[in-house]
Amino acid sequence: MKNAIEISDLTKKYNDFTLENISFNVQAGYITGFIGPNGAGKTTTLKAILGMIHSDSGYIKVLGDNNALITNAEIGIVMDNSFFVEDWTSADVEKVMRLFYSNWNSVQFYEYLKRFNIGLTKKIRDLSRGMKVKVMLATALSHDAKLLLLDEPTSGLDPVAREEICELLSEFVGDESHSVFFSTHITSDLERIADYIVFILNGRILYQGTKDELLESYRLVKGGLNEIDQTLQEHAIGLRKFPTGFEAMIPVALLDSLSPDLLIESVDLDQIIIFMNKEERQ
Amino acid sequence: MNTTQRFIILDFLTIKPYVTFKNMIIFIAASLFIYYGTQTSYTIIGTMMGFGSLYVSYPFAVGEKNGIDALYLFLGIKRKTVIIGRYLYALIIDISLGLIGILMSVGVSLLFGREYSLIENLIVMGAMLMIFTLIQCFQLPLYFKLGYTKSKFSAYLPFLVIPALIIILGQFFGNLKNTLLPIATWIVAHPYIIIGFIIIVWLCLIMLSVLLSVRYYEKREF
Repeated sequence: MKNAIEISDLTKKYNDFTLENISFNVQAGYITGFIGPNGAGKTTTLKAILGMIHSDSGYIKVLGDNNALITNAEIGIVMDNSFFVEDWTSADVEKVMRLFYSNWNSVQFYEYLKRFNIGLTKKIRDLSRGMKVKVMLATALSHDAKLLLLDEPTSGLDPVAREEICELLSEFVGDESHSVFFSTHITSDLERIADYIVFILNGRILYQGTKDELLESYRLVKGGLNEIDQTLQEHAIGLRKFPTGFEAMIPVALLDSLSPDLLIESVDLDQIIIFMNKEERQ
Repeated sequence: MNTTQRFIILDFLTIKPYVTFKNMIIFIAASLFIYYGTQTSYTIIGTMMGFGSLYVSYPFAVGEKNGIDALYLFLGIKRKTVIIGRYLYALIIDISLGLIGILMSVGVSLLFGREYSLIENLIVMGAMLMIFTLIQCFQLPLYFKLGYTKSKFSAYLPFLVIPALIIILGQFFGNLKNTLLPIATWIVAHPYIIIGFIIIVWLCLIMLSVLLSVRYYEKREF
């Protein structure tokens, strides 16, 4: 299978927000980061993939099937909020999962809990946010899922916990039949582990492709206010002016047409989001 | 085990943390207190089934607080299975609490040296089962449509409306005693037809409630 997820012309309208005809694919065997600022449409898209909301139009195929329910059993899911009963213990979670997943591996689940230092008798409500994410992750990794879908799993976590989660995800895709679709606004995590990026802004997909290609497509340009020429006026993305000068993002293809006196730096994913977002607002 | 059976177990696992020894003691003490007040052991059955009704709403209340509808989807449970499983769960709770009520009713009768009839206890339980399931047939579609918090007030209306209706209808039919006497005589003469008719109406109302719940829940977004 080439694509773990195929989305075509997906539309979902709310009073104050529209996911507008979005189309993108998630390559099987890789980690794909789903980036965009808060409110860009990441969670809405993920909910549509999982069948939690009904789309107005378009189609979604997950693991080659367009019935979310059939495929959900093959997906490991980590949402930004725990979906377990707060008064359950990790042992209760195990009992529930064992009931429904035919490929459930109790030994593996307990091993993950041990690795994460999560006691079996501790209630979900008594776990920190990071621990709750880890219980969800342990669950997601213990039923032979082919695809991991994660919605902001690292937000609010300390760097150590984030590193642990990123390591686990890298281990998971070590087997090429596994794929990860990882929504986040903490892009530093993705810069380390993602192979592909899907960038969403205001309900529209602005980019889908490899992470390296995206990072190589733009440069950060800095200079004095008097150095803003016609090319920059027309093509600079998210131009920011300060009393001492300016900074903007610019497509690499236009670098040759800029003054050699300008300071050119590489951009990271955070900067791409910030400048694109600023450009949209202008 | 099929998915519906597994879902029913999931419902019981959902409410498990809230089925505490303390609650049980309160329920039993309250039932005995009501029995002491009425001196009718059948009231224990009704009281216990009333408490059962609370547990019927628990999966909605707990589920809403914890976003459990999403978990059902993640586990690959069809929405129709959730509905059918939840109705069956409610029926199991009603019957279980009814049977516990019968045991207590018989126990209390034995303890105080009173006569008891198991058949009468079962008839009372059957009648109570119909009343409570009909109340739940009104409640469950509301829960599935609006969620527990939004429909809590409306869902408990039958507990106020039904006693009021009984009083009003009692007075109304009391005034028409002479007119209704032939009908009452016919009913007494043909109990099985009436029981059959009541059971058919009861089943139709359950079906209608299930269909409404399916319609509402299919549209829900989480």
